[in-house]
Amino acid sequence: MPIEDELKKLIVDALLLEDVVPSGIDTDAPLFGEGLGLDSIDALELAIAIDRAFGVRIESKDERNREIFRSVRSLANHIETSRAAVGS
Amino acid sequence: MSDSGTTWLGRREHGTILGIRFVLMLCDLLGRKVARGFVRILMLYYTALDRRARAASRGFLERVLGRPVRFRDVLRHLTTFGLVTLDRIFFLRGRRELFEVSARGSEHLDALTASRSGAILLGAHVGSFEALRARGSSRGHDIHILAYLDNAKKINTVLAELDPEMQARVIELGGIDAILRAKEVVESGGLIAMLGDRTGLNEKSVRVPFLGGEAAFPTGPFLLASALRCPVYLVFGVYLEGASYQLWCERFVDRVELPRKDREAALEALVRRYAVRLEEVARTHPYNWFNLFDFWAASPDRVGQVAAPDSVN
Repeated sequence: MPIEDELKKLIVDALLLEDVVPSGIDTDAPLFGEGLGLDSIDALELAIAIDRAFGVRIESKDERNREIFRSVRSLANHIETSRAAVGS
Repeated sequence: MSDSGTTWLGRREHGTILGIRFVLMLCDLLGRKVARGFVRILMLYYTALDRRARAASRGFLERVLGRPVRFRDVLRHLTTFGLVTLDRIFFLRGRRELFEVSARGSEHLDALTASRSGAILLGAHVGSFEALRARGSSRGHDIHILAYLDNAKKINTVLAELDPEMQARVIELGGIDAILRAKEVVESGGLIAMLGDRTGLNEKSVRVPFLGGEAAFPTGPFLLASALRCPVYLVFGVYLEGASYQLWCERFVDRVELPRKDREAALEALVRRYAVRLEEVARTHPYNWFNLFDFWAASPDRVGQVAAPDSVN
């Protein structure tokens, strides 16, 4: 399963989104604000879930956080690069 | 309270940094005793002139005192606010020798610190958070404050000069970084202090019974505790009289379990229990209640958040 799809499933599971199905999440739509409408606690839950599922820690020091959390695609990219960095 | 910019609390915020520096200079020059005299006169003036401040105080005191509220009750309330605000300056300057501080429940914080177990400390706009913080830092407790800052930027600029170390320990709410920092603090065994009587973290709140009415309390602190799997302790620092403060810390919940089903109900039950406890404290120490706006309003004006003494943290 592509990381994007895994992430969508993770988002729905971790954030207990009842009226959202993973396939209904647009890969490029904003996660916060007008898109899925997630808030900062959701972001925290998501960061914890990503750490658990992918072994990728998202640090507060990272200046790119706003960009990383923009959409499913940006999160997937971040996970891929982080894993590549660890694996290499 | 619709026009948030014109209440006395809001106006205070418009005071220039210069004005605040002037007050600080006076404090240094005159010492606490004389400065308190000035504050008493100042608060008499405010109480007499500011109808809204009086209304906010009266609205609260009527609920809590159970008897007709007189001008001198309101004056006592607002004067206490002024005096506690003044004391913040002395606490921030590290002048702890000026005060008699008694504390209960510090064993909780000592134990958390010794075992490096992270926790959330839930305070309220009751009394002085500064007094708590001063004691915490003297005992080596690793306390970080999670709060909004932007509304009180000016005062903060000056306070930060007074105690630069404090600035490093304030996590300004908003955005992903703040919440991730809070997570890292708790994971590394630190303590996150936040306010349980004002929304802020994610603006989510629930209305629960409070002092004979219904008021909105944030669910954010409990959601945070649930996400971080950490305990929640309540902390209060109330002003008694003269130079004495009484601080205490009590265990509230070891682990916030929010079942997938009935999640909202579990959350509301916690908030209700918190409101009950806060009500007891408000009844015991009514003049320490510093939410000086209509706390029961359908959508409470944020003005109180602007300058209630602890919001600056």
